[in-house]
Amino acid sequence: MTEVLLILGMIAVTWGVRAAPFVLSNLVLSPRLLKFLNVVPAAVLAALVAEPILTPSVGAASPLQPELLAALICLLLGLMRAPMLVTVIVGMGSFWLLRLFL
Amino acid sequence: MKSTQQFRAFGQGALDSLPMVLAAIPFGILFGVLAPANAIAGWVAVAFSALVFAGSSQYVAIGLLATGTPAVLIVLTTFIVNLRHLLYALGMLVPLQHVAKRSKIGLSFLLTDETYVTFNQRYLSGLREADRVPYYLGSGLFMYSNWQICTWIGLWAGSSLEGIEQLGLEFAMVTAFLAMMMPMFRHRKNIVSAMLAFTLAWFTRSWPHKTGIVFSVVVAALIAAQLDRLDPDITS
Repeated sequence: MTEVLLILGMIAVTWGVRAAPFVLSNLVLSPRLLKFLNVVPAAVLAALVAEPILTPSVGAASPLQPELLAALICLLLGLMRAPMLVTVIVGMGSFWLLRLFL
Repeated sequence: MKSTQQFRAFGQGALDSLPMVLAAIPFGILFGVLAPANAIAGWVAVAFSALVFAGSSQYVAIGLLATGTPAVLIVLTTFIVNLRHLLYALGMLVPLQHVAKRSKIGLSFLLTDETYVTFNQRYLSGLREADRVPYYLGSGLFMYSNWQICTWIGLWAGSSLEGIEQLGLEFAMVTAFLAMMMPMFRHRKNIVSAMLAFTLAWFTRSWPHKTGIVFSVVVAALIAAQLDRLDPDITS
């Protein structure tokens, strides 16, 4: 039941946003709102990865855990402008290897 | 004669979207694999892809679902993540001026980042009024059907491969999120936004019902949005 409500809610806020400018024909976004919207996606993604990256390092003897190291490798690949798919594959590969050896 | 022309525009829209479709394949499959890895029922994943059809929001939603976030907060977060689609829809107002309101509302269901980018490129280089809707549908429906098939393949792979839950696939989402963030870092404001959100999310991680995530995103974005001097050339 919760899942059905969740799916309905997500349809509403996804399709609703995509259709809003066609429904509300005089919708105008203020420059301040546009500035805010532009930096939201990066904030959401970063907020969601904080816990899975840092949690294993906090309880452990050494802060250098596979999660943290693999995340740093992903960042490095990104800085080298690796394609998204390469970052995911190399990131996961190094995570598995580090888990075997650490 | 008229219908062949429109059919051709439909095909052109699909063809122009091919690079985007190929790029979406691993993410669609990964979504199907990750849903069960995060204890999310297969039908929920299928319904997300078929009815919500928004890649990054779907990832965010299963990420939050897995940590036990209440539905209301997931919908609120999805709303915030989706707000950028307002920019795309606003960009479609002029090209679709000739289309009836009801049709436009229907068409907007398929308005993803990929279809907007593809449509806009072709529109700017000249797209006849009569070809616009078929072209848009060619791109949107290709993206849509590809996304469904990839979700199913991922679900099938996730459920039929032995011991897949021991592989730590939940971490694949972290790598995918990091990879998605990187192109955004071309704008320095986004680096500030991400670093603030990351830090705040860590310190608010014990807040009840994952309210810390929403708090961190809003505060980080509000602060980063003020830093005009970092990216003076950005207008949009």
